[in-house]
Amino acid sequence: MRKLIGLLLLGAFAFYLVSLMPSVFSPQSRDHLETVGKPIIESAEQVSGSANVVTAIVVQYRGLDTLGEVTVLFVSALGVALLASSLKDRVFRSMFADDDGGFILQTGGRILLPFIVLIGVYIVAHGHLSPGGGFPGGVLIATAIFILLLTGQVSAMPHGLLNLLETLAGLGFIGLGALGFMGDNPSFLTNVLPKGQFMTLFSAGFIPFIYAMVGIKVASELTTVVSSLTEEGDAGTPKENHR
Amino acid sequence: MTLWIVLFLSILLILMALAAVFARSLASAVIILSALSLFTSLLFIMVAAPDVAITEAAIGSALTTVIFVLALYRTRTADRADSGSPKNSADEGALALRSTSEADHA
Amino acid sequence: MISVPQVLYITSFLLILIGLYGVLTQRNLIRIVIALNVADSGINLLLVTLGYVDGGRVPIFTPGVQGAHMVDPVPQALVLTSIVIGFGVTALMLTLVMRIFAQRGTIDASRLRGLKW
Repeated sequence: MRKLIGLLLLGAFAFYLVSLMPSVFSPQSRDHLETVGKPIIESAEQVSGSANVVTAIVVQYRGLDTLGEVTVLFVSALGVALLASSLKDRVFRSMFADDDGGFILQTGGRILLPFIVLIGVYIVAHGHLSPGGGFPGGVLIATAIFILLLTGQVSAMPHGLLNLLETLAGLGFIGLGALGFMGDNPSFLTNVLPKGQFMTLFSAGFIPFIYAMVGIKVASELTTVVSSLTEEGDAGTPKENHR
Repeated sequence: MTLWIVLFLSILLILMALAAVFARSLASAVIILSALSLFTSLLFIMVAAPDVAITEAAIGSALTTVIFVLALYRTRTADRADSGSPKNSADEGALALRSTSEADHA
Repeated sequence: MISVPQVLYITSFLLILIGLYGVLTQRNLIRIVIALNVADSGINLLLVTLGYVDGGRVPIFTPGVQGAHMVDPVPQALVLTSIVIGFGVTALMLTLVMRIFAQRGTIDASRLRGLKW
């Protein structure tokens, strides 16, 4: 019965989706850009100085959306840390009680760790020149730190240090945005640092710095999320809270 | 040429989506989800979006799978009489993941 | 003949529909989260396909290549945000599932009738 209702609702939604986009049925794809993409591509070099147009959009043309995304990530990390504070049983200690995962995990983890950190830092630093940027770079660094947890080299993450890094990175983002109030067109998140030479590492104004802040923030937040789910909470058993 | 690759990847994607939603055991559903996000990342490369592809591969294949495995571990019903106690962590992990499949078969 | 964006639109619609069907009919809470992730992938694919241009290049200026016949970079920037937020939402949902299991001992949605009065 539930499946039938589900199928009917899906049919109605499918009909709605297809009616929303009649271009599903016409096998023609356009071959030039129109309203929004064209002026952005044409002005990306001059306004932002970054070779990667997607980075220019994320940091400069739509910088406020990136601030909102960083806020959403912060709120979700906060929620996970709060909700997971009542979980018992350290995962890796009980899983690896008598055996530590064997030769492949230990050796592979130790060998791969510096390379993953290096690739992550490279992707963050070259966000304005090659695909990548702060978000995947930060995720890679968080994965590398998670390998530390996984191979048992570290038993618990230093939450105080992670909180400090996250706070400083967030303040750095807003501080760099507030720098935009100097210059001849004062508004939040305007690119006022010197643009340098196109397609070199030290170019594109404040874009590499903002992406570095975003990368640090994302890395520390995701490490907090993963480590608060693998460690034992300190809020006591849930049953005690029932009155 | 692009069309054939995109067609092949798309059919693979739809089959994997069906497998992920209707899989028998929860652990295989999680692994198929990880492969699904990897192939979505490939599809993003075929439409000339490498930024999105790197982000989807890093987040979908790596971190989402980690969080799912942690969720599977913490929601297992661990009171199963099995053929013997697990001898090392690999056995225990496999037992934990396997026990979720039969207890929560839905 | 069929064209690349047409194939991708149909694929993304099917992914969204399969994911929604999973959310509507599955009973295990973790399966609902998996199906929601499938729908997430479908939506991101749909958004990126909106910017497809025939014969378009990657939207990055490379030295030595003149002429900017690129795909639309705006949907890619929006999808970047969407993927990261999708992960945040998944993490929060799974933490809620872990809490529900710790308090009720089950993650079967038909047995969690807390609102029954």
